[in-house]
Amino acid sequence: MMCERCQKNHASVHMQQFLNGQKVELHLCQECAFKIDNPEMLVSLENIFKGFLDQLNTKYFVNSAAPGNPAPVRPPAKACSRCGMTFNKFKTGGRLGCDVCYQSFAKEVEVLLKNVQGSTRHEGKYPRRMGAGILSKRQVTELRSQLKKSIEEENYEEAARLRDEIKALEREDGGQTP
Amino acid sequence: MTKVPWYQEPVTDENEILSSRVRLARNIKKYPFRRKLSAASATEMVSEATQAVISASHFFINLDMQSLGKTEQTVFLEKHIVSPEFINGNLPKGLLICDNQSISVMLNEEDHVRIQAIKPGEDLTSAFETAGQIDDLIEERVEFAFHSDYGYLTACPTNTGTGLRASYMIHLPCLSKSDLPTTVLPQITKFGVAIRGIYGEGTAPMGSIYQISNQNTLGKSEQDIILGLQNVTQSVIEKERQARQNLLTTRKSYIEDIVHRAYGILTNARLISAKEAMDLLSDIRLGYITGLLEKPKPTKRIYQIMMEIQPGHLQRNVGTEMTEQERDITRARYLREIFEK
Repeated sequence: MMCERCQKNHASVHMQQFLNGQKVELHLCQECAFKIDNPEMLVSLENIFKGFLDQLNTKYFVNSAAPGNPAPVRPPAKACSRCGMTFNKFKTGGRLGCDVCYQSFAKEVEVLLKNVQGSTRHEGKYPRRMGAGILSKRQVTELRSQLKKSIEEENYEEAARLRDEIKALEREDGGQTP
Repeated sequence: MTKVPWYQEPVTDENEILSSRVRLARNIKKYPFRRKLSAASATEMVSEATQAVISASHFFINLDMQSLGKTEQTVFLEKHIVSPEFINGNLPKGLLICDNQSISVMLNEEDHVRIQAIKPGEDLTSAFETAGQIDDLIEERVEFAFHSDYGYLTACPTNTGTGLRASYMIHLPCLSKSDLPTTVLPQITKFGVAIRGIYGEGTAPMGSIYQISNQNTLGKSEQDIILGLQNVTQSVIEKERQARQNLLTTRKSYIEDIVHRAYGILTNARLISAKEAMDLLSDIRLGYITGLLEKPKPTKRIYQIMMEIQPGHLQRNVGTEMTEQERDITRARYLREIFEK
């Protein structure tokens, strides 16, 4: 069996991974196995993540093609304002260029995270220096969902109380949290 | 802190879980991620982060990657202290480790800062606590890239959020002799975990050792991610024990033959590859767990022996680079000595 990467050497390292109930195999030569980017992340990155990247492109840009013209329309050459990374480069390389890329490609990143991670909301640890701002933002999110529930249940008294609580928290934060 | 490396720490050699590992990915806000980092900025970033780590804890030793020989780098790779990506990266990089090697910080791997804690046996919670403490201390000194919705920002969106990858190394000798790859694993991995094994020619992973880790890093707290992984791993272990019981009831002579045959080969072979030795050690470990092998136990954990027969470790112990055949001879001699003692 030949190495799936270089197609030159005999494949002697065989990786077997299981993700989302699927089995994925990879056959590599010693040299390529050693060179490969973090084998820990191999399948999720190359198969699932790239799969979504392709899907993302189709979703966003093929639909905008003129009717009757199946040729995909090239995505706009949008570049990150901080590092100059383009979406196309990200799509081929699979890595973002800086923290601002998350805003520069906000729409695409949102779809990507939803698909790859199944969520777009961080529930974990936060830097101490972010402090109270993060906490109150999380409280507001929680209170909003309670508010929605109260309105659905026609519990207007509770809804009014929740609305005031949300307003108070938002005033305290003063839009400080990014 | 003890001077004994984590993989030599005494842990009963009967647990399915061999080690617990936690990795946190972070980036320093003022620098672009590695893809967009110039060599000059990389040098500056590594030096700033090194200072932050060293001032955070004086237990850290700063290793000069440039001065490490190829063998030494391979040893770190085999111990899972560094990744292949880190070794192969051309930009300036840094590696800081604690003197018992259970904590390491890679600087300028895929992300600027990768904090890792490894513990022997099942100790994921304490590995997470350790990594978290180092994270807090570094964070007092540098500002990490963080987004209020997405959490910690990483070069690859598969790490965004907590930046947490928690994993266990587990030994599943009986499941890998039965229907693990075809029925058990595909079921289990539906619950947000990935299971992988590296294997040589054939079907079973090397030494029946698998790594099981969380897939998603966003949308759950670190504690929930760890709890989820612990629950799934527990169910894998239960399946391993069922498979063991099943084999012992229905095919006892088959298992007896396998463990004694493994012992016979390991104590007599004159040439042995890492893959063959790993598989035989796995069967011997099964022999000790089931009580079928009554030979005296070696003083070292089987998992430690598995690590010490890897090419990098062998070459370091001999003190010279060796050809594949020389390694196979040295490995066979080393194993005979271990089991004949």
